[in-house]
Amino acid sequence: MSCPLKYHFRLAWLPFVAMFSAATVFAQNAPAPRTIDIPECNNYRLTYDPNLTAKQRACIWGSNLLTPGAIFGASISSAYGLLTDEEPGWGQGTAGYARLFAARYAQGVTKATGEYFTAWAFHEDPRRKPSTCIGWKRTLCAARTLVAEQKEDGGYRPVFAPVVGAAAGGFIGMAFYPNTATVNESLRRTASSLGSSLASVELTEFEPDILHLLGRLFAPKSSAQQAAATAKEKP
Amino acid sequence: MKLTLLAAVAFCLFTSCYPVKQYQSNLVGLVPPAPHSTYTIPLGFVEFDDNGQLFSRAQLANTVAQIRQLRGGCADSTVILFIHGWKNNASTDSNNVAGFEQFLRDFYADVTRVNRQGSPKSSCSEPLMGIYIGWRGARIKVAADLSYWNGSNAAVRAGGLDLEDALYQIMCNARPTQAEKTNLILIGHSFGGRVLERVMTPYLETQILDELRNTTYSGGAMKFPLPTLTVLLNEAAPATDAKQFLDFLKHHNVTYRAGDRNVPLFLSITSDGDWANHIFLPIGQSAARLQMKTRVYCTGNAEIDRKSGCSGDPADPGVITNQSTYFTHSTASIPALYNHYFVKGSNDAPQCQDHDLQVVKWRAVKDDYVFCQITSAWNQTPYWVSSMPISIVPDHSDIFRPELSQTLISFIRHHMAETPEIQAHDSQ
Repeated sequence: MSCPLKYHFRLAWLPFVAMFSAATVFAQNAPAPRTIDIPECNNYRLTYDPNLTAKQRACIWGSNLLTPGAIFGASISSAYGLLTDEEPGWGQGTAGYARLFAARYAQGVTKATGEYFTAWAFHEDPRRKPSTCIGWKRTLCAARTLVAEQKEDGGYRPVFAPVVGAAAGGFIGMAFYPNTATVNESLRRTASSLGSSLASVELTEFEPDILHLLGRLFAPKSSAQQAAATAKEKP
Repeated sequence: MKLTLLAAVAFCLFTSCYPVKQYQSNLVGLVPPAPHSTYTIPLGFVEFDDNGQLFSRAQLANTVAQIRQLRGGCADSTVILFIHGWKNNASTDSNNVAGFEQFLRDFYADVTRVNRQGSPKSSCSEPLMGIYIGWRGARIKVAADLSYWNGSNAAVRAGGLDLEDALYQIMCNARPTQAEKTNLILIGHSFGGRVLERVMTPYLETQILDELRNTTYSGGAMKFPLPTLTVLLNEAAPATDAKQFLDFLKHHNVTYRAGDRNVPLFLSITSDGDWANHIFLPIGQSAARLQMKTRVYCTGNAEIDRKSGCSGDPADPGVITNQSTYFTHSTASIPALYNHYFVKGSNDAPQCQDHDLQVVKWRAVKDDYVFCQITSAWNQTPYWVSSMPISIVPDHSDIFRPELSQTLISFIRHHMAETPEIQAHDSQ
């Protein structure tokens, strides 16, 4: 009752089909190794990616709009404006302070936006990095980042974003300051804004050194050798 | 008006909390290659919730399976385990996940000396893998600095039994004996250092005491799984944790040596520019001190001790006479506990001070360094403590740098030249 040989040959391909089907199904079920991709606007990538995408530039701009530094700066300069009665028409008290704060904050937003668009148009890097200079030259190297940036070949090229941003922030005031909407006052505001940018780049440059010195104030003073000496003196 | 303001603040606080959830899948992933390169590096995630409980056993099992596969294909492979710190978690939005990926790429390039075509010279197809330990270090999105105390407590919970189990499995599979060529590097950063220390110190104490109790132990090399190098990087933990372990190591005369050279059980290094540990931690811990009491140590001088009302053994080291110094500072912020230091070369080759021993010498990016042992230090244990120049790590958070990768590689090479042996004997 054995099967004819012809029939055997007809069925011979069936195991191969079964194996192929099974392999296809299992291959579909077997998980492919996944790459762990980091979003473009992850802060680490925003700091270290060599070239920024349009989205990353937008993220940096967005993050510059609402920062503790921006709020603190606007708060302090508004308080000073209130003390010096900069805009008498806005009055004193909470209402006057609120209007001054809003104006200062709007200046900051305009400055950040001006920097963003200029950097984007001229392919400038909006990120501030510590210089590679040493000694007192670090002060000059940090200041230079406001007007020039280093190219890949080691040379320098001019940058416009910090100056254009400061000017935008300074002149936008003409739109809402009733008492100081003049070109002279706008230039003064521009210079003041550039001054704060200069202070910011110098702080970025010397931050680790300043914090190192401050940290030493909090550290216990005894050295390892003094500690060893007291250990030997124990009864 | 007040009610609206209160509701707004409450809404802001509640919506700004990070959720308690597993961020990564159970499968081991791949770090994408660096530009102009083709290699990928396996990266396993092992995540813990706010109570220190594992989210998924499968995550750990898959990571352990990957370690076995790695060792099967390459005898001298390296596994780097990283425990993140405060304000981070296992999400790809976290700075530390992105930074660790880059650190693995840097390490890979350094350890395999990647050729110009971007493919490794090593004969192994996969000589390196990363393990990222995730816990709830990121807590709130708004005013995150205020979560210091919550974060610190969460770090203590994260260093619990499940993590001890996970680390033990990882150590047993990566480096079951100290003669293994496979490298296992454990790095705990910031509060992650506290997590790592909370798990590793009880483990080491138990293993050492167990060996000492064993009647067959006659003072030779102890045999239990150990990582090649355990690094507490900018560790944000009160030194009270480390002080007890230092006393333990001192009391039991524990040594860790490779041939005739001392090697570290722990390497606790903090950047000179680490403001979080040098300034923020003392302030935060001073506030935390309101909840508990620290004690004054005796000095051994009867008159002074009677006035201070102290009790117990005299202070050791004698220069720290109040426990609050340990409680309000991290280990690597207390110079009295240092036993090593870095020297960076300027124009001349860097050199150790007179009488001190040069431990390691290396070049990191563009500077030469030596790491020196203070021969006259109080701390003569294998718990190495030192500050670190800002040219290697500039501040608290910016740690994933080629300078650090090359520094750690030089330590491993120093460490692995001969089989390291841990020994101990009880003081009479």
